[in-house]
Parts: sequence; C-alpha cells; structure tokens
Amino acid sequence: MKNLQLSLIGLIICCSGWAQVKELRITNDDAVIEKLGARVKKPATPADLAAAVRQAIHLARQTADPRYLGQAQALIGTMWSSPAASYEIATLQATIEQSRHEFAQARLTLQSALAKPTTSNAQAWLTLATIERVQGNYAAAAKACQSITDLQAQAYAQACQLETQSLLGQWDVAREGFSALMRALRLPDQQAWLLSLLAENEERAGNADAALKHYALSLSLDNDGYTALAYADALLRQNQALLTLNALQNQPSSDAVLIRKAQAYKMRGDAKFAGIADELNSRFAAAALRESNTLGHAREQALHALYVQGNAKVALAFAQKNLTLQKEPMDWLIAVQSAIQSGQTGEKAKLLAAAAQTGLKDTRLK
Amino acid sequence: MNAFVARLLLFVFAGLVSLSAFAHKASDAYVLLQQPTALAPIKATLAIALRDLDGVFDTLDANDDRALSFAEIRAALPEMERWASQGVQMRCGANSLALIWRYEALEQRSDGVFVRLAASSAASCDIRQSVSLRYTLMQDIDADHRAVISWSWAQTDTAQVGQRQGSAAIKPSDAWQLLESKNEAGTPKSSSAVSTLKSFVMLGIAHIGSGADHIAFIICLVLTLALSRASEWKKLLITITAFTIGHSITLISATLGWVGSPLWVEPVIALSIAASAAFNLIKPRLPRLQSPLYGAALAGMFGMVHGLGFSGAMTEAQLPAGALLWALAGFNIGVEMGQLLIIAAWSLVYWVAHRWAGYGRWMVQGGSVALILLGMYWFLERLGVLG
Repeated sequence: MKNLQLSLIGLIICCSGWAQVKELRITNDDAVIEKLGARVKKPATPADLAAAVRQAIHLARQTADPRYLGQAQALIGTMWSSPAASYEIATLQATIEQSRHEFAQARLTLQSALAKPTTSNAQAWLTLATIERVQGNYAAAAKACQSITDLQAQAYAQACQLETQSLLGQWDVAREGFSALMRALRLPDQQAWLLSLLAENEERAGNADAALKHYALSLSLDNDGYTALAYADALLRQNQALLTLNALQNQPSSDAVLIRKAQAYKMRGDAKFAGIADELNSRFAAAALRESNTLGHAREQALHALYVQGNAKVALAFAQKNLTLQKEPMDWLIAVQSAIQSGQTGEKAKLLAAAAQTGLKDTRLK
Repeated sequence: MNAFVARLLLFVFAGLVSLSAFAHKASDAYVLLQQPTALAPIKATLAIALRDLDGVFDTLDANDDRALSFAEIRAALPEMERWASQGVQMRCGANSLALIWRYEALEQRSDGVFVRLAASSAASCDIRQSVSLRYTLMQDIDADHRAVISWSWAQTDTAQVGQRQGSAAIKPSDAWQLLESKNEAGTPKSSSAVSTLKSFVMLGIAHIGSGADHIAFIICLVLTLALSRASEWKKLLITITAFTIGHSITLISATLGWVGSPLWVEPVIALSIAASAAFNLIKPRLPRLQSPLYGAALAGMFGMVHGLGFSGAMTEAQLPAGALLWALAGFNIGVEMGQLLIIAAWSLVYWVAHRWAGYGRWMVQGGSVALILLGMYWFLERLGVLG
C-alpha cells in the first residue's frame, strides 16, 4: 500500500513539475534578473587543482548550493576514481561523495586514498570515521579514529574518538574530553566546533538547557550552517519557535533551513507558513524530476511530510527509508516522532530497539 | 593556525556536515519535445539556468558584479544560441534533425531564472522509429548536470487518439541516447487534468479501502438500518450525505491549507467509532433520538474529523498547483466510491443475514459492542497508552 501511494505521489510530482514555471516579462535593460554566487577559480596548473576543488567544496558547504559539488567533480575531471589520482584528490573526491550521501562509494574511495603515499593520512581517517558514525557503525568509527598516527592531528583524533564515545552514551567522558580540548584549541572556529560537539553531547545526555547555551555560544563565534540547524532542531523540541527563526535568520535558504522555518511559523500560527510550504512543495517537485534514487533526500522528505504537510504516516515511510542510509540521532528522532504522531506504537518500539542495537544512547529516544 | 591545521579544520567541518544533498538542487536543464500531430516536425524548448550559463560563459557577467542584468543576458544570447545548437542534437530513426535554437523567453523556476530557447526541426519525424538525443551541454562544467527531458508524441496509430508522453533525466554524454521513459505511459493520455483526476480517484478509493478505521465507522453508520424497507434507504441517504458533507468540508479546507491536521485527529477518529456504536445501542431505548437528524448530525460531525484524516493522503501527494481542483475532485470522488463499495458489501451481508432470528441481537447489538471495544482499543493505542 505504501509503495503504491509513494509511486502515485511520484507520478503526480513528475507530471506537475512543468506547471511551476512562470514566464518573466522584462523590458528594462538594467533590471537585475539573477544574483550569482561566488565563482570557483579555475586552476591554472595541475598543482592548483586541489585548491580549486577545496574552494568549491567550501562554497557548497557555505551556501548549501549543491551545484558547487558538481563543479568540484568536473574540476577533478579524469582524475575522478582514477588510480593515478593523488591521496589529496582521492580524499577530496570522497568528501564530495560523502556530501552527496554516497557513503558506500566514499568508503571505497577513502580505502584507495589510504593506500596512496602521503605525509599525513589524518584527513582520510577522519572522513571515514564521520561516515561510520553517520551510518551507526560505532566500532568501525572508533577504529578509524585510532588509526590517525599523525602527531599534528592528535587533537582531531581525540575529538573523533570523543564524539564516538558520546554517541555510545559516555557523556561524562565526552564532556570532560571536549572541555580539555577547548583549553588546547583556542581559535574561534575551533572553539565554535567543540562547543557544537559539547552541545550535541548534552542533548543526548538529556541536558537540554546546557545544550542550548552551547549551541548559542558556538554560533556567536562562527555562524556555521550545520550548527544552526542542530540548534534550530533543539529549539523546536523545546517549542521555541521565535528563537528558531532567529537562529536561522542568516542561513542560506536550503531545503533543510526552510523546513525548520516552516515548522516554526506553523507553531506560531504565522501566515508566512503557507508561502514557505508552497516554495518547498515546488522545490521537492523539481527535485523529483531529476532523481531516480531519492534516498539521499529522504531525511528532508520525512521532515517535509512531518512538519510542512502534517502527515506523520508518510513521514515515517520516508524516515524509515532514510534510516537505511544514515543513522544519526536526528534520523532516529524523526522516525520515532513520526511513529508517535501517526499512532504506530509497534513501529516506535521497533525503532527504539533498532537504535539500541547500534549501541547508540540518547535520552531523547523514548 | 598553521596551514595544515587550517586545511584539516575545513575538512573536519566539511566531514561533520551531512551536507543536505540537493539542498537547493543540483543543476538541471529542461528539454520539452512536442509533436502536435502525427509525422509533423518536432518542436523543442530548452530551459537552462542563468547560474549554469555563468559557468559556461566567463563574459556573461560582463561587469563582474555577480548580478545579471537583462542587458548582460541579451548581449550574450547569440553566443548561447550557438552553444545550445552544437550541444543538443536529435535523431529520428536514422535521420538527423537539425535543431537551431533561438531565444524565446526568461522563466522563473523554483531553482532560479532560466533562459528558454526554442527550436523546431524542418524535417518531419516518425516517432514509431526510435528517437534519440545527443546532449553534451555543461559536460565539463558540472558533473551533476542533468537534462530533464519530457516528450509528448502524437499517436500515429489511427485507432489511438491523443498523445503519448514520457520523461527521463539524462546525463550529458557524447553518445546518442535513446529516449526511453522510466514512466512512459503505454496508454494514451488525453490530458493531464484527466490523468490527475484518475490517479486521485484511485488514491481516494485506496485510502478509504485500506483504512480499517474508516470502514468500521461507515459500518457503524449503517449497522442499525433495516435495509429491506424503503424508508430505511432514505435514512441511509441522509446519514451518508451528512458524512460526505462533513468530510468534504475539512478535506477541502485542509488540502487548501486553511486548517492543519492536528495530533488529536487519529485518536478522535477511533473515538468516533466507539461513540457511533454506543449511539446505535442507546438509540432504540430513547424515543426522542429516533429522528434521522440525530444520526445525521453525528455522521456530519465525525465526518469532519475523518476528513482531516483523509487530508493526510492528499497532502502527501504534493498537489500539482495547476490541477488542484481536479486532484481534490478526484480524491473526493474516490472516497465516495470507496464508501459506496463498503455500503454495497454491507448490504450483501444484511441481505443474507437479516432473516436470521438472532440478527438484531447478535449482529446489531453484538456488533455495536464489538465496535465500541475496537474503537476504544484503537483510541488507547493511538494515545500511546497501549503497546
């Protein structure tokens, strides 16, 4: 039944995509038609290639515009998945794949990168650990963190280890560890990053107030997109709609940001909800036209169904699909919330058991 | 911060983020191919994002202020037309169809402003032969670029009327790519309004048919009726009409976004079953409740709650803006049809069973008690008290 409904939805989205086009009638030569994002510097020499790819990945992250990831891959060009690619280029490729949620492929790319000569392989191990954590493979994540031998990267190796421990419920160890690292890594963006890890740790430990404080402080040091989303989610869980909107104020309008804004407006009974819902509906329709495999987008689809469309049953279907790809606490929370809201207590129990099976401990999962 | 740590930090950060893939959306161009009548030449349009064109033409943003004015776009149009003409080619069987692209309009899409070019081939095309496309645009600039191709061919077979439609997303390549749809309909579609209507009728039937709670509620509404008497059919008509009006009001309101679908809807739907079944038991003992209007009021009131429940299936379908009315009408018709099917099935049961001496006691009263228990069970389960 679910499949029939999902395929019907697909059919309807597919056939309605063309309707969402508005022709512009412009007569004024000076009218600004489109704002353009920053341009990636084309590498003049092969030696500049890695810098250009890194800039593209950085822009993708900063602006939440996935076009930059496509440009980054095009820059890598024939070196993509090539045995001739250097450690650095292969690691960059894996980062692009990871950003697209192509975790299995990213893992393979990292394995090939780690077999290549390099002065430090810390980056490849850190990226691999992130992927293992995202997929709920905590033993593999811990192993990847331990494999970092580079002395210069020891602080990052420690943070890597602590994050895994925090997910496994060793909240006190993680709290002390992150605090110690904060005394060692003093730069504002390092502090902001560690504060966001501390905040996530406190959220899992059930200290919502401490978590909110850490998130707010982290964002005041560095207005990072990922942290802003995590902060917004924490605020939404506390029914703090206005603070959620403030937290997302200066973030690029990615789907993820808009979905949280929509939920906040809905909670406030603000009429702006309708406008954002329309925008999101047309974005999802447009995305459906190109994607044969929507797995990489399933988390947003679940949140869209849950928050924007108020349909917990569909949200649960997407959330469960998403869990086959990623198993961060957030992913479990969305699924459990959808199960609760659609009254499917049996599914909820199964989800909690499956989460516990991975070793994940999170007081919010109940 | 030394260079190594700075580099590492970028990566640690980049790694932490599960960058929402397709956050805005990766690069897409839209190609629409239409053949108005059989064997006629094909009309084509190509819409490509200004942000993509900025990657192709270094000089598009002539004053380099990262904002494109209409003048800047117009100045670059001849170059864009040449670029498109060498990058999109079409073949019908073995015949190459030369496509010469000309600027047509600017259009706003969810992902930004697009330039739309149009081309029409001079030669006719027999779509019974294979149609293929060679699309190489953006190949070296954005590895995620896709051309979303939609086509609509006139049927050559005189027995079939209408258009054959399909769509596919293809990756730029130097190779010729056959247009084969992942979802091409084998049967002709006369219009998207009718197909929307049809698919929503199916969705409506499927929704009510798969919801045990809706079925149980409808059984509650008809359980006490003695359908062998004509007067009872009038009561049935009144009750079902009230239910239909009730759920239509909320279904339409929720679909149009006037009301939300609050958390209490699912538990209250369960409660409505228990309440209606209880009403069935009480009614014969209280003469004042004999008027069909009481039953109708109950059906209408609870119908409004069920309508909110139905709206879930509608909103999940991400309604096509242009075909909203068709979708709503279709879904409502589907729900009605599903409802009538349930009543027809119940009538059969009644027809077989009503002569049995124990019918009143066991079917009507016993059934009501069972429905009360079932409704209460669902109610508690949905509140999270059970399970």
